Amino acid sequence: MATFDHSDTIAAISTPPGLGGIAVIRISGGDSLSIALSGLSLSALEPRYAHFAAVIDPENSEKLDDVVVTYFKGPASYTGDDTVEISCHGGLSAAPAILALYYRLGARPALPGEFTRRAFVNGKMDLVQAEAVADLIHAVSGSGQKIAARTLSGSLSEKIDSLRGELTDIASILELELDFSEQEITPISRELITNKISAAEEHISILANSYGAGKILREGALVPIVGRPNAGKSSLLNALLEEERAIISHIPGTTRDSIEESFLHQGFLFRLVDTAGLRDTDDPIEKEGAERAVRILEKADLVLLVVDLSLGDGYRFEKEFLAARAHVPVIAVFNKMDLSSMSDPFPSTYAVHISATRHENLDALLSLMLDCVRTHYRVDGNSIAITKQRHRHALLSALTSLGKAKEALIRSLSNEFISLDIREAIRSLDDITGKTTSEDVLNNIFDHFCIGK
Amino acid sequence: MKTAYDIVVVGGGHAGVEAALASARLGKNTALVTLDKKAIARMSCNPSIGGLAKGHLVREIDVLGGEMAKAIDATGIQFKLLNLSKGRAVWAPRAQADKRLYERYMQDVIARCPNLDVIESDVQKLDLANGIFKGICLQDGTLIGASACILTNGTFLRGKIHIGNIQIPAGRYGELPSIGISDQLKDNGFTVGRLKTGTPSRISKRSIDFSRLEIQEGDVSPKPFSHSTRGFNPPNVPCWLTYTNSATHDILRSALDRSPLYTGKIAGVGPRYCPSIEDKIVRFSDKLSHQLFLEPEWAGSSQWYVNGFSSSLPIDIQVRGLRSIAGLEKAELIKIGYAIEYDYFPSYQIKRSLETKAVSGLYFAGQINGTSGYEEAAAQGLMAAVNAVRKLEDKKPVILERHEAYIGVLIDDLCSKETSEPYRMFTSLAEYRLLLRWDNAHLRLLEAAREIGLQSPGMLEQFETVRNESRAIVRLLEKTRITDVNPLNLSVGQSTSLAHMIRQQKIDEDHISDLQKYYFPDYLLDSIDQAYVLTRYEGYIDRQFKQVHQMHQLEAKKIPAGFMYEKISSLSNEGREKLIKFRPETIGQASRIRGISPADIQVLLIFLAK
Ligand SMILES: Cc1cc2nc3c(=O)[nH]c(=O)nc-3n(C[C@H](O)[C@H](O)[C@H](O)COP(=O)(O)OP(=O)(O)OC[C@H]3O[C@@H](n4cnc5c(N)ncnc54)[C@H](O)[C@@H]3O)c2cc1C
Ligand SMILES: Nc1nc2c(ncn2[C@@H]2O[C@H](COP(=O)(O)OP(=O)(O)OP(=O)(O)O)[C@@H](O)[C@H]2O)c(=O)[nH]1
Ligand SMILES: [Mg+2]
Repeated sequence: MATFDHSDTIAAISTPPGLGGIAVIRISGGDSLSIALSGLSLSALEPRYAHFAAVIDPENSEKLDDVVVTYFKGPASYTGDDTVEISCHGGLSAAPAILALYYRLGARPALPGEFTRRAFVNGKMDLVQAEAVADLIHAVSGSGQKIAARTLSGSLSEKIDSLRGELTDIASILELELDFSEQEITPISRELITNKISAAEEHISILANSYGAGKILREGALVPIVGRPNAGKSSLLNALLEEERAIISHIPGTTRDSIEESFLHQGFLFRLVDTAGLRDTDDPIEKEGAERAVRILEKADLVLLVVDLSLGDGYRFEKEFLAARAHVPVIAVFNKMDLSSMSDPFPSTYAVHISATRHENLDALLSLMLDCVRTHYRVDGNSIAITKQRHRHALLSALTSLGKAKEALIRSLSNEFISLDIREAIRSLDDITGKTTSEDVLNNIFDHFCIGK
Repeated sequence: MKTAYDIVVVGGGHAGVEAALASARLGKNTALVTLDKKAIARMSCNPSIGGLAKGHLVREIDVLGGEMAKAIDATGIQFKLLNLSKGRAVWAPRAQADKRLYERYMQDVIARCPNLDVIESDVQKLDLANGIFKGICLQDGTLIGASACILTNGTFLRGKIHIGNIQIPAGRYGELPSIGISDQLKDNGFTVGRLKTGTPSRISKRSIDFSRLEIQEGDVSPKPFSHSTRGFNPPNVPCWLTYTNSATHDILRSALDRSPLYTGKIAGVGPRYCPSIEDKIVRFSDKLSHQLFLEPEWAGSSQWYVNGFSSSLPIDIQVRGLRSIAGLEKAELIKIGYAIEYDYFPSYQIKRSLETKAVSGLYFAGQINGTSGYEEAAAQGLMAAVNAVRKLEDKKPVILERHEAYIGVLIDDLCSKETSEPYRMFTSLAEYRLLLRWDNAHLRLLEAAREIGLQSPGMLEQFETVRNESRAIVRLLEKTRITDVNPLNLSVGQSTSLAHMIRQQKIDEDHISDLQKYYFPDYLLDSIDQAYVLTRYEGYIDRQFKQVHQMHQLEAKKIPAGFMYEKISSLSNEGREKLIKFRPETIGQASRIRGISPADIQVLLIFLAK
C-alpha cells in the first residue's frame, strides 16, 4: 500500500501529458515554498502573484527553463496546504526535467490523486466535487491502463512481481532464522545473501534505467539534425514534415536558432530539431546557435548528421563528430545525392543517401531511424520499460534500501535489520503496483522450508 | 446458585482463564462456566510457554495485568532466552512447563479470586434477543443472565479426533466435545468454518534410551517472564534431541492411504507452521531427516512429549515409526498422536474490541477466532474481558495499535485478514518489529496498563521510573566522555562519548552492568539496559518510528460503523465486497485487507472527508 504522509511535500505535473503548450508543475506541502525557491532565480514569492523566473539547477547553475511561478499560501490553495505552481514550456522536455530537479531538491512524487486527497482532508472540497474527482480518478486510471497496455505491451506488473518475488525470497531466508530459530535450520551464508541482493539490485537497475526507453515511448525520441552549414538540414526537416517549416537558403548559416517539430511515423513520435550549422564562426548569433545545438546533442536519443555529398572535401568535421559520439546512435545522412554519385565518403554504422529537395530515399531514412531507436533503446515491443518518473523514483528508492541492506551485512548486523531494509525495498515496489501484504514473507517461508513441531 | 452475573466466561482454557480473572479483578461479578473444573488451564498440546513472538505476547499480557507470565514463572521447569545471537527485538523467552503444576496454579488463583464463581457445565445454548446477548443456558436448563459473555470454547465445538480411519467426537484427548453453540450462532447469521490441528504421541520415560540422545538444557541464569516475579530460581530440567531417518519415513509413507489427511476425511485446514510428520515427509520429500525434541510433561514426569512427531496415522504405524528412531527403539505409547477438527468463527465477524459485530455483548476469544496457541488465546481472553467490562462502564474499548504491541498486531490481523489456517503469532507479522521488543513491553504499554487498571500501582510506578530514567540516560550517554583511561578497560583512542562507543559496538551487552556500576550507580539496571538498546539501534528505531508516523493518518481515520459501501459505485467490485465483509474500523485497517486497492482507499478517503 502506498503510504500517505501529510507532512511531506509532494510534486507532480498537474496538466495532462501532451505535446507543446504549457505544463503546470504543482508543488504542495509544508516545505513547498522553500523547496520551490531553491530551484528558482528568485529569493521570495509574493502570494497569489505571477512571477517571471528561471528554473536553475543549483548544482551546476544550469538554466532549465523560463517559467511563470505563483505561490498560493495555505489554506488559500487547491490543496489547502502551501502550494507553488510553476508554468513551464512544453510538456515534453522542460516539465519532466524541472520535476526531476524538484525531486532532488526534496519534494516527493505525488501519488495518484494525492493533491485531491489533501484538498479533501483540508476541507477544500464538498461532497459533490469529491464525487466528481473520484469518478475522474477512475476514468484516468482506466484510460491510463489502456495507454500503458498499448505502449508497454510487455507487462510491467509481471516484471515488478518477479522482482518482488526475488526480494521476498531474500526476506524469507533472513526471517526464517528469526522466527524458527528453535528448529533445525541450516543458516544461509551471508555471502549468498549478499549475492542475492546484488542480483536483485542489477535487475532493479535495469528496469530503472529503462526509463530512457520508456520516456522515448511516451514522450518521443529527441532527434537533432546537425551538420555543417548549408548541408541541407532545414531542407531535410521540411522534407520529413512535408511542409515549409524552416527557412532554406543557399547562404550558409541561415538557421540561427533551433526549431523543434514533432512528427509521427508508424505510431512512433520523433521530435526533430533543426539546428544551426556547426562551424567556427565569429558571428555571435550564429555562435550562440551552434552552442545550443551542442546542448541539444547532449540530450539526443538519435542524431541525424547531414553531410553535403557535393562538397567532396575531406569531411574532417564529420569524422571527428562521429568519433566523439559513441554513446548515442548517429545516422550519416548523405544529402544532395542528385548532385553527386559519390559512395559513402567515410564509414559510419548507419548511413543513407538522400536528396532532401527532391524527396528521394526518404523512406529508407525513416525506416533506418525506426530501426536505430528500436535496437538501441530496446523498444522493440517486447521489452518492459517504465514511463513514469514516479515508477523510476520508486525503483531508485528500492535500490537505496538494498544498498543499506548490504551496508548492514558488512556491519554484521543481525537478520532483522537487513530484513527491515529488504522490506522497505519491497514496499517501494508495492508503490508501483499498489499491492501490499505483510504476511507474504511468512507464506513464502511456509512454502519453501520445512518447519514446525 | 446465583443466576445473574455481570459477565459470564464460557470455557476454562487459556483464553477463558485470563478473561475470567480480568473481569473479576476489575470488579465485575463473574461466572466461569467450563466443562471440567479439573481441566481448567490445561495445556492441550506442547508443555511449553513462550518462544518467538509468543514470548513477546506473554510479556505484554504481564504488563497489562494478566496471569500467564506469573503462572509459568511459578511452574516452569526450564527457561531459555532464544535468539541471543541476534538483535534485541528478536530475543524471546521460552519455558518448559510442568503441565500439572501449571493447571493447579491457575485453578488455585481462580479459586482464591473474589467476584469469581466457577460453574461446571456444558453450555449448549445462548440466550440472544434481537442481536443482544442476554444470558446462557446450562446443561440442566438453568438460565444464567449476564450483561456480557466471552465465548472461549477452544477446540471443543463439534470437535472430532482423527486417528487413521477412526473418528471420535472429542474436544481434546479424553474430553467430550460441545455441540449446539455453533449451530445456534449459524442460525443467527454467523459464518462457521472448520479448522484442524494435531498433537504428537506421549511415550513413557522408561522406554526411552537417553544414551542415544543429545541433551538440551535451559539457561544457567534464567530470566523470569513477569516483572513481578521475585527471587526467581526455577529448576533446569533438560530436554532431549533425536532425529527421524529414512526407515522412519518409509514406514510412514507406506501408510499414507490410511491417513485421514490424504484420504480426504479431514475437511478442516491445518497450520503449515505446525505440520504433521506425514505432511513434512510428503511436502519436503528431499529432507532425509527431521529433528524431534523429547520433553517431559512435568518435573519427574513418566510421560514424555515427542515434539515434532504430530500425526494422525493409525496406531500401529505411529508405533513402528517411533521405534525406528534412535533412542526410541523400545518406545511405549502412553497417549497416541491425533488430529482434531473443530468449528471456528472466521474472525472478520469480530471488532477490534473482540465483541462480535452481530451480537452486542457477545465476545469471542481464543481458538474459536481461528487462532492457535496458548499465548494467543490468553492475550485475546484478557483483551475481550477488559473491553467487555469497559462497555458495561460506558468506556471506550482499549485498542492496541500495531506499533504498540504484538497483541495489537494479533487482533488487527484477525479483523483484517482472511485466515485459511489457524493463526499463530510470528515476529515477521509485525511490521514494526524493532519497536516491539521483549524487553520494552512495560514501556510500550505503560499507558494502556494504567488505563486498563489491572496492574498494581507499585509496578506502574516502577515502569514509569524506567521510562523516565532511560530517557535521561540516553542523553547522558551522549554527553559522557570516555578516554583511554576508563573503568571498562576499553581502548578508546581519541576521547569520545559513551553513546559513540555503543554505536561502534565497542561497548556491548556485556558492559551494561559495568555501565551501572561505574557511570550510573543511581539508576535502575533496567533503565540503563533500555537506554543502551535505544542508543545502539537508534537509526533503525528512528526509521521504524518514521514508518509508524507515515501510516498514522490512515490508522487514525475512522470509518463509521454503518458506512454504505453499496452506494459507492467508484469502488472496485472486489474492494466493495471485501469492505462489506470486513467492515474495517479505520482506513489503515482497510488498507491491509487483501483485494482492496490503493484506488479504493483513495475513494474511501474522498467520501469520508466530506
Ligand atoms: C490436539 C491439539 C494440538 C494442539 N497443538 C498446539 C500446538 O502445537 N501449539 C500451540 O500453540 N497450540 C496448540 N494447540 C492449541 C492450543 O491448545 C489452543 O490454542 C489453546 O489451548 C486455545 O485456548 P482456548 O482458551 O481458546 O481453548 P482451550 O484451551 O481449548 O480451552 C477450551 C475450554 O473451553 C471449555 N469448553 C468448551 N466448550 C464449552 C462449553 N460449551 N461449555 C463449557 N465449557 C466449554 C473446555 O472445557 C476447555 O476448558 C493444540 C490443541 C489441540 C487440541
Ligand atoms: N541539389 C540539392 N540541393 C539541396 C539539397 N538539399 C539542400 N539543398 C540546397 O542547399 C542549400 C542549403 O540548404 P539548407 O536546408 O538551408 O541548409 P542548412 O543545412 O539548413 O544550412 P544552415 O541553416 O545555413 O546551416 C539550399 O540552397 C538548398 O536548396 C539536395 O538534396 N539537393
Ligand atoms: Mg538551416
